[in-house]
Amino acid sequence: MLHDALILSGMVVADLLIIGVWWFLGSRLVPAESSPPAVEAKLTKTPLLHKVLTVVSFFLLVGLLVECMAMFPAILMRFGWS
Amino acid sequence: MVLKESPVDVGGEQQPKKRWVEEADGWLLAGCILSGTMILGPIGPIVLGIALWKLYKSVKAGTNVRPWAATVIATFCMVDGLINFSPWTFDTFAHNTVLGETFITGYGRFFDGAFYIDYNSGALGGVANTSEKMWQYLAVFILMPMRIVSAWAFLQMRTWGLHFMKVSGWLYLFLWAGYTMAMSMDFEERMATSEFGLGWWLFNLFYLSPFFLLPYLYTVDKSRWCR
Repeated sequence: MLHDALILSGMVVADLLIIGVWWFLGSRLVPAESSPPAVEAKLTKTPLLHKVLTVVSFFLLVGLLVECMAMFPAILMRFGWS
Repeated sequence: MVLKESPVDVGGEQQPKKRWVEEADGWLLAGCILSGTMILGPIGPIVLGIALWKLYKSVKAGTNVRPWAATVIATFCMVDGLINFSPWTFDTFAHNTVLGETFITGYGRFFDGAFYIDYNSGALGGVANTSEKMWQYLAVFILMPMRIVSAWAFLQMRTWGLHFMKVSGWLYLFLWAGYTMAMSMDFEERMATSEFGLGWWLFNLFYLSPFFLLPYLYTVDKSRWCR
């Protein structure tokens, strides 16, 4: 039990380290191109392409969330602990 | 010059600097992380649902700063990045634990035999299939963490978030092409031995994200990503 807890803690630390390194790299090194100056927001119609992509993305997100909710409980119910 | 610290422009007036772009972003981050762990998956979507509902109300009220399309697409990318990162990181670092082995081999029995057959027998532990191990290391150390941070920076309307989303979108396309080849060539060993034989179709459905993400990123009004 303690053995597992130590390994899982190490995994969380490693994960945070990896994500932290990429955040550092992204925020410090990536902007090689200049950001255009912010323009005054105008009320424009949302392009049709964006609407379609949003709907597709929303349904895929729902699919992912169903997977997130069901996967581990399903594993435990079907196969139990290893 | 990159305007790293400037607040988001919502109407020509300087707004005081806020922690999040939208007030519900704290809920959104918590929901994405909880969902993405998979282990805590049953809780995550509830928190994420609350966040999306709050954000949807702000869109309806016209008080939102971030376009709704950006919220939905980036939330999908973030959850997708996390649910790929989390199981692979279990396999990389915690394949000897009860939790890790239960989760990964259970997934293997359901969808992909590579995560079950000869598990923990290879030199690096965890998955024994060499092509899967190669993709796993690329995903855990490069693509998925990059995807997660870029999605969050994109949600926070940072300039580098938009740029990083494009880079990780192209890398994701690269992963999809290679992974599809690997899965197809090992089909008999990986998919045919799994419980439902659905794995090939499932991963292909969700790995299609570059096909709708990249057109969005290249047509969006990038002047709004100016934090």
